[in-house]
Amino acid sequence: MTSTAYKLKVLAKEKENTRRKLVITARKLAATAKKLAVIAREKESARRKLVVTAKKLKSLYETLEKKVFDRTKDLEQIRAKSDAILTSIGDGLVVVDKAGKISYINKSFEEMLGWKAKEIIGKSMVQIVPREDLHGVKVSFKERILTQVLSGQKFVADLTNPFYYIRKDKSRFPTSSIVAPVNLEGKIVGAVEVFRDITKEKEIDKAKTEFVSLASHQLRTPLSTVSWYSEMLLAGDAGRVTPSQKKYLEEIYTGNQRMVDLVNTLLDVSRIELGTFIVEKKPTDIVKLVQSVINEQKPQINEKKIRFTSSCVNKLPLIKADPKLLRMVIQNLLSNAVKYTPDCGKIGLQLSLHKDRKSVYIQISDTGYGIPKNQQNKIFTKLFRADNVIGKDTEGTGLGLYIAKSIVEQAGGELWFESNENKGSTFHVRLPLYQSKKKNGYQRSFLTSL
Amino acid sequence: MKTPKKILIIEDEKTLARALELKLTLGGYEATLAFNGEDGIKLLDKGSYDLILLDLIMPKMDGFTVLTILKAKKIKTPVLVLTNLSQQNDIKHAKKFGAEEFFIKSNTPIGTIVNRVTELLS
Repeated sequence: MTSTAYKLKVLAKEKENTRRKLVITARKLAATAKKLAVIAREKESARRKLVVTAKKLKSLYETLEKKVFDRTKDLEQIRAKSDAILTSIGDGLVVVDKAGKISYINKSFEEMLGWKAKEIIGKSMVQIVPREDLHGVKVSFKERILTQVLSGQKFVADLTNPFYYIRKDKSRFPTSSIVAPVNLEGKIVGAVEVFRDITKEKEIDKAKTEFVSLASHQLRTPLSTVSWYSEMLLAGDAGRVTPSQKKYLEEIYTGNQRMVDLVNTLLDVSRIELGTFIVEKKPTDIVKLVQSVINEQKPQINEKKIRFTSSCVNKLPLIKADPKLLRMVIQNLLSNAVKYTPDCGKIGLQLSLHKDRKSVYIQISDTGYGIPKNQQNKIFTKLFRADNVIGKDTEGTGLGLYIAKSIVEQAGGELWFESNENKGSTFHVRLPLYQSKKKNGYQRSFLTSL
Repeated sequence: MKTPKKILIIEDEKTLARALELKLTLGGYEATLAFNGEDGIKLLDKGSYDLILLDLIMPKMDGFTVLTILKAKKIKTPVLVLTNLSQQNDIKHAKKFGAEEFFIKSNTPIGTIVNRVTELLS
């Protein structure tokens, strides 16, 4: 019994130990389970967070994608709009790169010049589209506005001096164009040219000029009638004239002469504008010519008690010029000086060989009314008369300087001035002795050489 | 009494033609008027003149044609052209066809024309 009891006791103890161990293990397991549960919870929480983040990311991605899509669409629309605008511009448009190669042309360009974009993109604008001046002379590469703009030279559009563009089929049309450089970070990277066909404008202008020409011609006959009959009355052809009748008749005669002069001037202007001035070049002694203009003006100079001084170099080479036109220039400048200088003023005329020895230099200065500063840029404009002389008792048409400048410039010379109001004006003329071959080649030029 | 010199005025502008007629008659000349080139030629066929004053732009027959016919007919009567065409090539053209002198009417006093006639006929 004892042994059994002992054994049982031992067994019981062992069991107790085992139980204790089991309890401990169970506890440990419980603790582990707890830990695991915590971890599991943490993981679940992380997973949930990840899901939220993923959702957020997805949403962000979608928004971004939509934004990109919208923006691209916007850009495409803007581009399409710009393209549509450029394409639809009624004026021809061409964009060239720094080398003058065409990078863009619009529809009007294609229509006006007969070229398709795919034929000429990447080619030289100057070569593809030749340009001729009014006289049909091809404008050289160096002289093309585009070339000048690309090389950084200043270009001022001169709409009064149109030129012709030559189409693909070699026909031509009058054009007026504006060229502007394209600047990027201070460097010229190309140029944009906008041009238009001015056939209509030219036709209208021509019709207007032709009308002036025709009207002037028609006016000459009645003017001759008034002139001749008043002259005959003054001469006593129709019987003796009393002194007061004579005075009246003289007024009629003088007034009529003014009208004759005006008509002649208008005819000159229309000839200049129509290019119908016939030029008769011959070796001309400019010293003699200037002297004869001075003599012609002497009565008015003396009448106004103006102190006139002139210095002419005795020997100047004969110049190949149309004396009639050259005379017109000198006459206009000198008669202006006389007209716009008050009594007892001073006028000086200088004639010499220009320092370049290739031209003649003429200077006419006066101590007259001068030209107001704010109107000096308009002085060569047709029909312009400065405010400060309109009120004065002087007659003028506002055509003289316009004619003079046209003549001088067509001859390859220059006409410029300085002036101070109430102090006087100085006009300068530089006329080349000889013309370059190119200028002599002008067939229809009203003045090929002065 | 000396027979007056005969002058033929071919000018379509009647007031101007009459002014010339008046002034020339006063100067002792016998002036005959024709108002176009055709009539002028007819008059020249019928009689002879000492001098012709000729306009250029006229109806029926212009002055250039008159000059051409005169040349063809070998009529040597001096011709003074009176016109309102003032371009150098018109002057050259007229002179080439045998015109003695060229006057632009609106720029020339009538006295100057008559003086030139007197000079040529004296």
